[in-house]
Amino acid sequence: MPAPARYLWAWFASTMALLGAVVAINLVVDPYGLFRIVDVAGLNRVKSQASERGPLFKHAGVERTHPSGLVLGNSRAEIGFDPESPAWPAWSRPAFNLALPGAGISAVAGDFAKALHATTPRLVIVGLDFLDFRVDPSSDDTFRAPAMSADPLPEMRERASALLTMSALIDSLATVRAQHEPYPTSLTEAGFNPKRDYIGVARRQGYFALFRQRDQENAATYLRGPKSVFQAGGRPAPGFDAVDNIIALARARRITVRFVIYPYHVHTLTLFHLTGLWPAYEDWKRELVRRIDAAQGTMDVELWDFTGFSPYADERVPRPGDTRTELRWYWEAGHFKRALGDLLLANMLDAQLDGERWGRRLAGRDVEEHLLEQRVARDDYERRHPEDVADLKALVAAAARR
Amino acid sequence: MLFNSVEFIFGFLPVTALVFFGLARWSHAAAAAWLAFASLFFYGWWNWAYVPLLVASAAFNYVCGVQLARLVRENRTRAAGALFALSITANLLLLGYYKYANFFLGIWGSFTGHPSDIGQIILPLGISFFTFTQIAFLADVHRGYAREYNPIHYGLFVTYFPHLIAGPILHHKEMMPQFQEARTYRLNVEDVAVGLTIFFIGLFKKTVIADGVAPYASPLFLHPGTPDLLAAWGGALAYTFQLYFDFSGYSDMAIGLSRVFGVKLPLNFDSPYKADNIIDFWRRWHMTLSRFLRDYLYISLGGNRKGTARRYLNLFVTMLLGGLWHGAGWTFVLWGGLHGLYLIVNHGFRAVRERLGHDLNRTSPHGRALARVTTFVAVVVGWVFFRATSLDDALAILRGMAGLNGVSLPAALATYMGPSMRAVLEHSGVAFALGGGAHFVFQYSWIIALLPLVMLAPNTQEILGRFQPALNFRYAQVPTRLAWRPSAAWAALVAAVTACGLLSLTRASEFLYYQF
Repeated sequence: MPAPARYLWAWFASTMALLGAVVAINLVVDPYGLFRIVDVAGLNRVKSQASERGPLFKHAGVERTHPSGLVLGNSRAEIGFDPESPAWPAWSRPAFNLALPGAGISAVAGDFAKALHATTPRLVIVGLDFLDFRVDPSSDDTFRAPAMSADPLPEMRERASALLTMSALIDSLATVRAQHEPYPTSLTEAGFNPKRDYIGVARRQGYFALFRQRDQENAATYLRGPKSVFQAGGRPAPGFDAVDNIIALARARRITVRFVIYPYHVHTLTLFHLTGLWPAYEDWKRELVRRIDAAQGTMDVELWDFTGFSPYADERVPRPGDTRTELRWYWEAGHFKRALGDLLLANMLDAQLDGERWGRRLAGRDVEEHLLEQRVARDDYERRHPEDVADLKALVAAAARR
Repeated sequence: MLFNSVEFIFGFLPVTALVFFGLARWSHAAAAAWLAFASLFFYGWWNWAYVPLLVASAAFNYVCGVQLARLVRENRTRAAGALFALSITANLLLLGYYKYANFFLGIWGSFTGHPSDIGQIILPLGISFFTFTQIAFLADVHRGYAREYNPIHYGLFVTYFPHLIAGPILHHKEMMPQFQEARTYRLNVEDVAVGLTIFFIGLFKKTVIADGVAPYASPLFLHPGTPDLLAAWGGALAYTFQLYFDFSGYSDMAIGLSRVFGVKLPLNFDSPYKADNIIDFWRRWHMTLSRFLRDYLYISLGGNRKGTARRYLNLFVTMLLGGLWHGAGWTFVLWGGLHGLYLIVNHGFRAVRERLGHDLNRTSPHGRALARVTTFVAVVVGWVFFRATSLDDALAILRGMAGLNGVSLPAALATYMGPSMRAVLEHSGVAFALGGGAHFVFQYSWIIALLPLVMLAPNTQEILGRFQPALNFRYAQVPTRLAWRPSAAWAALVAAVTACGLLSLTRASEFLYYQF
């Protein structure tokens, strides 16, 4: 055989062997928890890279565990609501956290529809984020209900890519390395993100750095983004139709739904005010109440609101350079901790509570009173903490300059 | 269809090659026709609507070329000149409509105060390349250089898939003879080995390096804001390497693919960041475009035959139009103009040195290093205009690169520094910005890894130099260990490169030069 022909055979065989080795490594380490063939502490138990393919990891988890309780939402829900929390009633166990970072309310409806292919939970907690509902007042978008007949091809491709891609190989190596790290990023088997990596950041840089970075980002996002929840002709944002869609899907299967408005930290609420978002924030609550009230009597559905200038939301941010003070309720102004999430769950699900009852069920008859109370509380907060408000104002001004 | 896609590598390429060599045993004409048909299929995969445009363009230019050749043969100079002018005008109008109509209407609107456009026009892929290729053909016919007019070979010359979308810009005279040769139609295992090796090295450059470094370039150009010194240089250098490996990877893949079919393409990319000056840079970057601009624009404008001032003006105009060729936007015009100025300065500097009696071929190692770094920095500054979406963005980035927005490091990095180090940095005016340091660390890791690679390492053509990978290639001996040969060790190394390239296919992205 001439040398070039021998070369081609050797090249082909070596390429195949290398690709085979990559498949084997990814199958054994299983960085996204899809195959679960090997589970060895020190090798692959901590799935540090699972969030790289969060949707794949979580939908596979739903298929595997057939949960009776389901959490839907964005990163706030992923980090805040632990399916292992004692607040979950027995009839809703096992629970699974299907919330995905960056998921808008339309994507959340899609995740719910997809999960219903694999299981019919009895209880669903749906996190609602005001920021998902903002729209350009001149836009004319519509919500498209997710298709119920899922095409298996993209998922098959996605699973194949978990075996035969460079990113999967890199994630496998990172997973092995992360087993001995003190604060690895990871998702629990039930889809909860304990945000261990933030512990490391908080201990090295302090909570001030975490809060400040989030406040800077939020100031810029709120300032530049739309400031309405109504589009052209006064039509509500498509996100409200996504809420209706979630209600309809749940009603058809007799699933109990608890919608929950996330407990925004006072910094976030103040930035809503400083960037001119407050009126839209109130409109959003009014429209949500209207939609969810309309479903009353046809199913078990409630809207819970944990926003406000409560002692929880007003958790004081440590001073710059303070790396010792630990916060109890918040990682930063964008994300609350599991401890606060447990309180929310206990309040909504009527579980035993150590602390006081908190949050309120929002319904049509008392929404205006609630909004007035919040306005008064906001003004009171801003009077009591002029230095905080000045600081946040400076961030907004800096964002405006950029 | 993208070279860096599963359907191309595992579907289109093997099927096209097998049918081509199968048909070639029976008829060379049928094999050539098949290759032209397969090339149209390759083009139509993107958008079938533009296949008739490509076919019509090739047919029109072929007919014009044949008629022009007849007129030239019959010495009917005026008729030949008129036909030549007509055909060139038609080509430029086609290109002008698809690529520049809205740009020029916008300028017209800003002058007259009556803005108008003709709706969104989708730029047909590769139109700049296949139009220029055919303009060169017509010019060669007019000058009496073209010899062969086989319609199937002409069709294949224009549509040949390895070069169709993003070059190289081919010369009729370097391709048509190859389509005539009988050896092209015989399966040659050495050609396949050399071709696939070059192709997969190119795939690695594109999918692993260019696509890998891209996330560290894009944020700066999408939202420049007021970047500090390190952020501005980090993003600009990341783009400098992204573009290099994207285009170099594409050029390798085109050359390698063609070699599988026994056809050599002209070299298009020759380690441009090793250039000692801007003149040298343009002899190494997009070489076939430089050749086209020199032969058909610069020389047509008078070249250096009409005095120094006119020569510099010709250079400037040529580069300005070269910039505009890349895209209908002021940033491209500025980029072209900037390189025009660079070239004028470079030629002027040479003229001064010659007048002072300096030997331009003798430079000290330090002088050469300084020249190379200066050239590289000038090129990076140029890329800022090339990539930025507006003049304001480009200037914002350049202000950052000049240090006018200060210097900062991620605060996360500060936690790994000792207090004295941190104090020294703060005393020197370095600020610590909030945020994780991962982006910064990865960005500069890529830059530090790639800089010596582009400045010092031999390129693909040099590594495979003994096998004459491309036309117009000046073979320089590379160290023996790096000279490719069909051995088991090289098979293993290229297999690793291939596996990495294939494993990175999932994030298939278009080549940057597809937009031109």
